[in-house]
Amino acid sequence: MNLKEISFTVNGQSVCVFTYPAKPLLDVLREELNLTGSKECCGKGECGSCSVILDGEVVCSCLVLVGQVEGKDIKTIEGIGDPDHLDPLQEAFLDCGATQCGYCTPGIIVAARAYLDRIQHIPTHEEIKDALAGNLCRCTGYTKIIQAVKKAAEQQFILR
Amino acid sequence: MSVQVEPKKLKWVGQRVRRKDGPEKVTGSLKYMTDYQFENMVWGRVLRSRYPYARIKRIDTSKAKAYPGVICVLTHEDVPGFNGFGIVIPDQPVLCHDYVRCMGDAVALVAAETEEIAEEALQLIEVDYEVLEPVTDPEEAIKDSAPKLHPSGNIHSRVHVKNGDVKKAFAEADVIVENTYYSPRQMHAFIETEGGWGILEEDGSLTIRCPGQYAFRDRLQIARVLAWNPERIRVISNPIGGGFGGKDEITVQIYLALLALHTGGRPVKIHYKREESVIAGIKRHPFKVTMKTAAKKDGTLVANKVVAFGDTGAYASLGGAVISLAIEHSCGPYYIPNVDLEGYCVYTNNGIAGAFRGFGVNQVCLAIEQNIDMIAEKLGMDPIEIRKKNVYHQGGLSSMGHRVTTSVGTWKTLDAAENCELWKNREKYKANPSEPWKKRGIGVATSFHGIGMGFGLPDYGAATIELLPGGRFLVGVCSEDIGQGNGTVFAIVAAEALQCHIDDIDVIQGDTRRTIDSGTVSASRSTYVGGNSVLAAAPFMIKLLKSTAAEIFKIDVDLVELRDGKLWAKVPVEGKNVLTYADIYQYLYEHRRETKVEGHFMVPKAEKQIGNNVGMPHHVYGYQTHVVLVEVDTLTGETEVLRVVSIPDCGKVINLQGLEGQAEGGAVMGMGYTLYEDTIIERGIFKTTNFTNYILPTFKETPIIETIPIEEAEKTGPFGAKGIGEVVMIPIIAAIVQAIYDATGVRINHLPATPERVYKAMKEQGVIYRG
Amino acid sequence: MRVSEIELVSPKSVIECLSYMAESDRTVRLIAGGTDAVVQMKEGKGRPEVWINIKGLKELRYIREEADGIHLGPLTTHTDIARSNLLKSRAEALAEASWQVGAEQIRNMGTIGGNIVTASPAGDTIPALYVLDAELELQSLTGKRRIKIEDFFLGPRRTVLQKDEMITDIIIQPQKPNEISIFQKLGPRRAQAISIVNVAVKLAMGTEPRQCLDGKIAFGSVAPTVIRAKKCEAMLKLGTLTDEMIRQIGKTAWKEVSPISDIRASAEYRRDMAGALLERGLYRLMKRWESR
Repeated sequence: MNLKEISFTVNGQSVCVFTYPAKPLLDVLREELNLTGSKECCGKGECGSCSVILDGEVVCSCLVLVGQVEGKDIKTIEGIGDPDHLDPLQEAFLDCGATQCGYCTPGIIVAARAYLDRIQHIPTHEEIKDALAGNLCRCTGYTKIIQAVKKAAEQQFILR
Repeated sequence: MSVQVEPKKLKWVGQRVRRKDGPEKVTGSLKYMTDYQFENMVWGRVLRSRYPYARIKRIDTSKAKAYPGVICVLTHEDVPGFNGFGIVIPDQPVLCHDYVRCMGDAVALVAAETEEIAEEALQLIEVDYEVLEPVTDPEEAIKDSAPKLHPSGNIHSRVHVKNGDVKKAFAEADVIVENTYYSPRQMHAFIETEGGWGILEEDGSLTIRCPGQYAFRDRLQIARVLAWNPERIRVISNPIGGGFGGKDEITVQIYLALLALHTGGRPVKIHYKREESVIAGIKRHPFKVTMKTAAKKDGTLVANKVVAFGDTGAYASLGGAVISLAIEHSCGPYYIPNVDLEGYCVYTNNGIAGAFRGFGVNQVCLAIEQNIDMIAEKLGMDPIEIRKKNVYHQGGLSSMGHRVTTSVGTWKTLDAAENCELWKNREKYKANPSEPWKKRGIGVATSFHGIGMGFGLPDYGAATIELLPGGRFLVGVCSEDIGQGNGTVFAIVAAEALQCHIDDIDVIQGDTRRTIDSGTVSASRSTYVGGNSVLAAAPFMIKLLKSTAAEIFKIDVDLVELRDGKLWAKVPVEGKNVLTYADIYQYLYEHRRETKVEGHFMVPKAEKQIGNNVGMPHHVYGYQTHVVLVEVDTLTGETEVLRVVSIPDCGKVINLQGLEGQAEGGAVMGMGYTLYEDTIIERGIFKTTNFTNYILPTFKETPIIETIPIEEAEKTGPFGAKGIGEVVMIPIIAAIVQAIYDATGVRINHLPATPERVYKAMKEQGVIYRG
Repeated sequence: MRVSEIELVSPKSVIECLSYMAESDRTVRLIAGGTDAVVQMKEGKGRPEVWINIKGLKELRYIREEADGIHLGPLTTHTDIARSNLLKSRAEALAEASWQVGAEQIRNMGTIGGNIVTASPAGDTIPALYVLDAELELQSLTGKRRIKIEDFFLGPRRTVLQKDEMITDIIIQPQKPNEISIFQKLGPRRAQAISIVNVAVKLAMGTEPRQCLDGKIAFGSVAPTVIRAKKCEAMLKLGTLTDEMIRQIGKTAWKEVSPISDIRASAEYRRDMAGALLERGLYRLMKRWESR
């Protein structure tokens, strides 16, 4: 194995991993940093379950090599909230019933969080659908997720 | 003993209740089985067949065994017990020894230090095959000339129901329609692929952590292969990243168990890549359904003749039950007096089919609902009117000829459809397509689905309730939460019965050590059976609480009243006259007494079996009507579903949020089945590999979905509830196809109705946009 | 090659990158967004001994208008393009094509240079680049050369790019005030789909209603490479683009394509869809033009 030290920031903390540089970031998060909120579902960038925020933009961590993130800033679902300190978006998911089996949920929340952080207005249903079209869910039929994102956006932009 | 709560006093039942497991799920902190990491772990991999059908001449594992980093390589020779699995008949080899019958067949197992080494070791296993011509068409497969894939031949099962005089009825009918329908090989596409852990514990017992839909049955299947006492095996099967029936059968549990016996106590992990899941996992049975339906001039349905072929692929799994359920539901929720219904479940080399949400009913619903629409059109009848006219009512006869004594909401769901905004204003909705070359149409369809296992099959549930410190309760039901939220349903039922706050209920599911056998999570049964099981256990807990209170109060138990979640002495006592559940726990704890009770529930059965068909009929059914609005691009054949009204009758709603979640998820899964999804297998070889070419609905395809529950309470159900999991995805299939017809004038009888199929049909009928 | 043994280097400049490509005695491949490269690696189809990670080369990520056209850095992401007001107004077909690549995550990662060098006949940005007269600057340690995008592709996944060369600039011709363009895509579903057929159209309009002076049409996924539809282009200039004329042009597309059958669609359907998409695109363009 071709092992290297690779340093980057995850959820505000500096980390240094000793691993091979062509390892997908997702596997490093899950196996070496015990951040298992990001999931593997297709491994090919089709489903969004592995979504993380890399330097401010949502990406599929299954298609990023860890060697490419040297010095970069990464935010995972674990950096968005925890059961005792839920992000308003996570609260909205609970209120609206937007999670079922839950396996796709972290990826969707990461993508939705990145989206709401980027925009300055309450999005329409169509805009939410566009923003999340890279995330597959097999349980919910998406409807309550759209409602939840809308609800969180309303709170974010009206209460601000 | 039973728990009585007056409907108007219900505190939790019927409300919108947040999921119990929600906070862990939305934060990513919930550990699924495939999220665990163990020190000193090893990786397991499975060697799959190279051909859809071949004879194994020789397997040589020596190079793989010698490869650095490999811990063990196992073949059929290493199976200590029975080399087979399968829910009904165990005809699927764990590790093939003589023949491979599909691309998903497992030939060898490897455990290695890294996943990469395990993968490389698979390449070093030499298998000599004699390649055989695959059997890929069910109708060819049943001919004498076809090679026999199993000793019993290629017909796994045949189901036949005959009532009345079909010949005479057809002769006397005013309208007859006959069509053949083809349905796709839908993939469950749960977001979490199959995977888990096998761990040989220090005490010599085995722990299998692997998501599944029936931990106790998985344990029995593992034990049979290992030739072990099942009690020495613990299966933990919850939580699960989606099931839909696809984790009902054994997935990787047995591989994990075999490997764990050869890794020197090191935990072994398997987690399929999606590509392996596609090939190895079961699928929905593709059907060919030929249906001939007859009616009188006034729209009364008089006869139905059905021949259905279900392709179960290489192994049975639940294929026989699927074809049985299909035939039972092939006439829809209508009374048709003269029927001749025949179904075949056939072996081929096309992968493996098994349980999948809807369980055969999806395939036949399209046929009966389309035939009825065509009859209505010929007679100039309204599609809702003809359905209302033919539905059976509670106490009436079904087309199977049995009396349906349980609640039947079909008529009311149709009535709600007729009165919903979308249907009432359908001409307005259709009038303004978004672009001149697009056309809009509206369709309606109805269906039903049996709850539980049906006649002649054991069907029971059990639950435990344990009083915990602080007066909380732990409710244990083994039936797993595959996402549908049954755990929250059990908590609602328990909170209602025990008069406590839902936050004071913890639920444990899917663990053979910590819960008792409650049956499968399948057949839309877990609310009905699990809920009833909790209600069966609750009186024992109330009795324990009351008798303990009586002991503390030093009064007769009859003088203790349970009110507002507290125990009151009805007569003056020494000390305080009211006790909390926490007080009761404290007393029991101090006296070293048991705080756990259990309740058992047998599912009631219909009065008599239909012919010799095991599982037929069901006692309780859920009903469902869908109305949909679509827009078809007549230049390209693309269909977009714009609106859906979902009208389920699931009896009393336990959790409104959960019900809507099922209705919405079912609608979109049904839409995927109708328009996009198919696992393509050509000559036994998978052409579909991953989500690049298995087309799932995304956010973008999601229509506006409205849910209107019809609560036709079922007196045998918990608080009147029935079940909901499957029926919510069924009639939408036929409704979309009908809406495409309404828009374009073309009927699609071969699903999915891809842009290409719709375009081709439009081209043949000359309805392509011409400005 | 084991994935765990692959080296990864991250050059700090284009020159450093080109030096590495020229001088390494090991097999090397460039990786930027990874949306194709990592998939190839995972499937065992493209495993170099060394990944040259160019994702961090900021000098290759830009959109700027100059005298000779709009210059796009090859590391410009699909998101950059889809959100660019300059491109949304002056290179509509490209902005629309980038918007229809994959979904948000993939657009954030994938680059236009990557889409070009992948050389898929279904690549969404390529037809748009064809109609916008794109040229590519290819650079190696020994020098630069500039070629038309239509001369870049040899076949599926095959290009004229030499082992030591990389794309360092992409130059497109912005639409003039009388020009409009559009990208149309047919996939198996609306979002996140590989094109069954796609087409880009650019028209130069005259002063009369629906008067078309000139136009370019490029199809994807109907031939081994993206192709121009020259018969259809000639027809654009024959007269007013009435709905009837649009239909005739659509029909003619049938003769310009030679698609294959695969899991996504039959050749027959693809052939019909080339015409249908062109027809739909022209209707939409006319509506867009008339509402200006």
